[in-house]
Amino acid sequence: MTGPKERTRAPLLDRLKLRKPAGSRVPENSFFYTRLLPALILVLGVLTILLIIFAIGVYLTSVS
Amino acid sequence: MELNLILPFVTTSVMVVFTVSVFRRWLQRRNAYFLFWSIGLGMFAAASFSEAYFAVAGWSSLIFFIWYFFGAVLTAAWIGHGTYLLLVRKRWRHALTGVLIAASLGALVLMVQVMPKLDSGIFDRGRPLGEQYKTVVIEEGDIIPAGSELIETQYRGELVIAKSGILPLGAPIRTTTIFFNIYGTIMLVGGALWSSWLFLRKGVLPNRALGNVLIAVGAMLIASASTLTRLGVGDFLYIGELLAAVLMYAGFSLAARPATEEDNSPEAVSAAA
Repeated sequence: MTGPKERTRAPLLDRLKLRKPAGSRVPENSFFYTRLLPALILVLGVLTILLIIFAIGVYLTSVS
Repeated sequence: MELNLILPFVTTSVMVVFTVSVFRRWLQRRNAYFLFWSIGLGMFAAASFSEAYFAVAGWSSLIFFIWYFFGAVLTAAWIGHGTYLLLVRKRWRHALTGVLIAASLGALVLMVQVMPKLDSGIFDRGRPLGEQYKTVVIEEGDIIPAGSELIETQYRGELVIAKSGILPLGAPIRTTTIFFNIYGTIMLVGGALWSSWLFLRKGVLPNRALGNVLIAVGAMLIASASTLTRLGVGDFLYIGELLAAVLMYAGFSLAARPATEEDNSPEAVSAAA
């Protein structure tokens, strides 16, 4: 009897984390990687949304 | 020598190196996202070369075609689509790739149709192309760049005052740019930020986390400069293009670089791709 195959492989990033040597891991005590970069990603994400809304506004008012 | 003359040449050089670097990756790995990235980056290189050409040699209809069609319409969407192919599940890939190619062909038809209607007499080599490429209706409070020529013309049944430009008023090709560019910006910036966030959350590959942030910042710079150009402020387009080219190339190089010597092994490279 054969049932559906179970998924035995972990997601790619988890596998990477398991097999990566220390040099490939984010330094746990690094302010840059644990605080600054996530904050920058958040800010950039918000700015991107604002830029897209602004660009649509410019498009709607200037298309002619 | 004027800055507007130098910047497009430098940008073109950076973009050619960047494009070749990504295209070589595609030759080695045959992943579709490398192909779309290299096509999109090649379009960026062609557009910045067009700006350099205009500054040095003057008007050419063919070069304007390359500048507008590849630079203003397609480049962001094709680069962004490469990121989409990298991140999104397989069953949606072919459908959206088909939509992008069909939309690009549709835009090509519109671009070919507008070519005989271009007003090359407006072109002034001394001003950024971004300030003079389109005819726009002038309304109260609008910014009018120095040296602009104002005309009175009929538009949608009304007599309006417009700033003359190379592309005529109401050219359908101009309505397509927003769709291509928003798709490209969402995919490229959103995809880079999402990838970076995933790497940080899992605590792996810091070089890729940082590289993707640089790519996102570069893409946002060019998107912002393009939006300002659409507003009539073309002063930042050339410097925005150069900064975008440098940041995106730096980000790509950093993300593609092995984090340690062990990562050079074929097993690690294939796992990380």
